[in-house]
Amino acid sequence: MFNKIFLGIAVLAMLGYGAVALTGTEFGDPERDFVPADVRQSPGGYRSFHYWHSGYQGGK
Amino acid sequence: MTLTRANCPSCGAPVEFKLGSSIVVVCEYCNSAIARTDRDVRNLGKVADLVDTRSPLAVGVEGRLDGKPFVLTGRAQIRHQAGGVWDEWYATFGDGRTGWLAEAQGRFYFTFPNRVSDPSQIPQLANCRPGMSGPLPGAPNTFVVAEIGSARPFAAEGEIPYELVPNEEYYFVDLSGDNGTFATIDYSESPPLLFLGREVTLSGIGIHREADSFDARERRVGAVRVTCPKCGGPMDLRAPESERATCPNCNALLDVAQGNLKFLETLQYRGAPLIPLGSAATWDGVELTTIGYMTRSCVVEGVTYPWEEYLLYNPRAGFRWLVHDSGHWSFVTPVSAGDIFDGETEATFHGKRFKRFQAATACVDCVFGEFYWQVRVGERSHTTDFVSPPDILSKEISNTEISWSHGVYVERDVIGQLYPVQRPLPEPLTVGMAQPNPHRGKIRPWAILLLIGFAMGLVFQSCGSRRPVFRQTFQLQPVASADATAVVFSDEFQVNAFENLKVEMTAPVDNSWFYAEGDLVNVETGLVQSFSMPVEQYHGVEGGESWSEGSTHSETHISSLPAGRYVLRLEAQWQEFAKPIAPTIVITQGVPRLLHWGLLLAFLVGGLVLAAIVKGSFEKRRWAESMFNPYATDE
Repeated sequence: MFNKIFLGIAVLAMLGYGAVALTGTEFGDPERDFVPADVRQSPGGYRSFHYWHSGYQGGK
Repeated sequence: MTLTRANCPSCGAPVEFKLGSSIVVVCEYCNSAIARTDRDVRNLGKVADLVDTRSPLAVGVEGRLDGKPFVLTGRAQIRHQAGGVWDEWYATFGDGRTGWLAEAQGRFYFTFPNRVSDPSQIPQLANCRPGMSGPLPGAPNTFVVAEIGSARPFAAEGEIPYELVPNEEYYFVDLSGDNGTFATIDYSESPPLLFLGREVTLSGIGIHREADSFDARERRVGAVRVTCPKCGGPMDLRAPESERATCPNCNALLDVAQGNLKFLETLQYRGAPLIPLGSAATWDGVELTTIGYMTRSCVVEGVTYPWEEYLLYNPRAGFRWLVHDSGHWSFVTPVSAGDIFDGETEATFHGKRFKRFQAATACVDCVFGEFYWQVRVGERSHTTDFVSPPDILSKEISNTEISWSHGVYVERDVIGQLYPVQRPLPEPLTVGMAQPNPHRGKIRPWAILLLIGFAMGLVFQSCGSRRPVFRQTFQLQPVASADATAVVFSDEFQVNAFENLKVEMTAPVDNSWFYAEGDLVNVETGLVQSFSMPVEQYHGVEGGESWSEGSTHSETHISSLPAGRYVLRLEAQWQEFAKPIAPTIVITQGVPRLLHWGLLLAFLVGGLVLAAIVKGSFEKRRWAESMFNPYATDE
């Protein structure tokens, strides 16, 4: 019984792998949004959409 | 000139030798065995009345062997040293050949005398041992000694091709070859007589009157009610071949002797059979009646291991066994020793290899019902079991005989459905030696899925387009502070649908960092896909050891985007903000992901390994019950 369940999951995993490969899907993508053209073309237009991060804290 | 007609020396009745090959004819009036010589006839003595063996054959029955017609012209009844009786039918062919059709326990063997130019090629009786194998003159294959015994002809009818002296004992060796071949050596003469042939079926030799005979015989089976000579109680005899029977009323062990019951002893214990004697069930299309029950046991390292055996009987098919051992059941059929290659630690039967599981001396502890041999409590034989689940091969060997049987594991529920069992069937407490591994078929699906997954990955890896869609080096000018950002836009470029995007960034950092957030912007729809990428690279010397970490390169993968024209907006910070920096961005589409393939393969390999572990664990538990446990470690 358990083996059949695991086999079912394995088949689903294979189908999922095929679907991911065929559709070019990636996991963990940042969200997508829309920025209208009039906003994009206005000065500082991206600011209203794209809040800049608090500043990169990299460095050794 | 050979005599063909004469008068019986005993009673004077006329006797006729119809066949040129006949040596003896039995007087129909006084049962004298009359042998002819060149000039006269001799009386060899009186033969007994024929025992009713309920044979489907009779003198005068015609048949065909390999297309050659024959007729049964005589019959001798032989009594085995162990008490059993079998029939040997003398067959005369139209081309003058003569052969013997032996009938025992529902099986038939057709043999022909084989002239041997060099008698030394025939094994000597003293050198024969059950189980030994070797060639025979005139036979292409090797034969296994199946039985060594002695017998006495005691009754006869019709014409006989040898000088049958009533009750004269002779020794014989029966040998079994592969594919049903059979041989017997008769040591009544010197040099011994060799007969070669094979096992046959009546329908295979064109004798079809068996149906009527068997039907009549089957009607008689189960209808023979006799009286116990010990207690006077009624009891049934179901098999004409029975040599021993027990009284269900007083538990007396009786010598059957063709229906003439004789008290032998009173048995202390009759056992408690789960399957009632007399019950019938259909196995392999044959209805078999349970006629006997016995318990046996063996002692290994001081521990007694008991099991039960039920003797099943059908007049057409002969005898079978149903064996119950610790909650596990198997249906057992006798097989010819010649069909088995006995390699001691392994045996081969019909191309299937069996591993030795246990070997011990088995002892009969109790008997109840009917048996076709002179069974007794305390009877011992050396048994060896070989397994190849769900099949089992069993060898029983004594000083005079080797017998093999082939068993097939039967699920407990099947027994419960087939028989009106007397009480709940015991649950198995251990893994049965022939119990099919319930995990046996579980490895293959995982292996197949693994192969498919591997092949899928190969296809995707080789078919990925890996199409470059964008490459640009941006010249970023110094900014005011480390928190300040520089923003640049790329030219438009084409992105295809259903292909992921791999974004790579290379920045010339040295003991510093560069960080960028990017937006892929569809210029037609306004769709924005953001991503971020840090690049850090550090190195130095510490305690005399040089070290480095990070890289000037970074990459990320993004899901496919709707097809269209896109620009890249890049907003960047970098540690050495007072200096210009020139990061390079490369975007490629249709990049197969090794990570996804690896995860899939890891999952499938995990399943395969788990299935193998579970299967192996079952086998370990099975072989833990064996005295030849291959998993045992020397301690």
